[in-house]
Amino acid sequence: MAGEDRRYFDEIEVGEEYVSPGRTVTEADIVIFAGLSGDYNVLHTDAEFMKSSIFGERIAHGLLGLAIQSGLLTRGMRPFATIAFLGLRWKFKGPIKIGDTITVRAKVMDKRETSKKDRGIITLQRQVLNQKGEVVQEGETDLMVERRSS
Amino acid sequence: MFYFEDVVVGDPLETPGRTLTEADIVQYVGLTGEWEPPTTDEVAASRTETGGRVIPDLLPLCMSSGLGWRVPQPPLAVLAFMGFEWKLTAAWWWRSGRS
Repeated sequence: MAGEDRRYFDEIEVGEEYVSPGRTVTEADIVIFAGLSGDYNVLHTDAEFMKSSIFGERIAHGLLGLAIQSGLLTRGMRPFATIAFLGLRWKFKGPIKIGDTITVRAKVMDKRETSKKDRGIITLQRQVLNQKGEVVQEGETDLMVERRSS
Repeated sequence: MFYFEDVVVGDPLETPGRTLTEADIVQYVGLTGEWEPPTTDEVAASRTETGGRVIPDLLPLCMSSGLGWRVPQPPLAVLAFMGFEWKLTAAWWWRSGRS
């Protein structure tokens, strides 16, 4: 794959940390995501109904926050030589509201070699913070990353 | 509405199908900013073992949430989505342009 700045399993260290730029989540993001995903739940689409909810207003889809952080973090770190995204464990801890600005902080938590010599598995912890510094989402992603061929 | 009391553990639910299109991929990439070569660069991606652009990893997950609302039962009275675990098992084979 093109892009010689990709980092291989061997050169990525446990404990490395990355911070993304901020991104303001807008009403347009929520409307586009509703159309793309087909998730028109009232939580995200009915402003009148949501006035009387515990949130007081529409909130972003949890999975929109997850999808945005994925793109946002690519702007805060050099890409890994990722072969495959294996899975994730994710928690939604608070709402993302229209106009909130989110930032992603990530940290390499674990590196595991596999039976195949050309690849390894890296676990990356990610936190999504709002403009008040509150963690609104967090979790871990497992990535299969290429080893530098010798 | 389908409330907590109405949900039976182990009851299987099946959604309708949805065909993933190139438009879905392009719109998703624009929305998220995930401009990685495997999903956006046909020239580079065609030289790899996938043979072409792959679908963004989290796009099917995002679509599954919308499909979930189309199962043949009243909508769940959801107050909040708390969390989940998810595994990707066959991402390689979802190439754009293939059905």
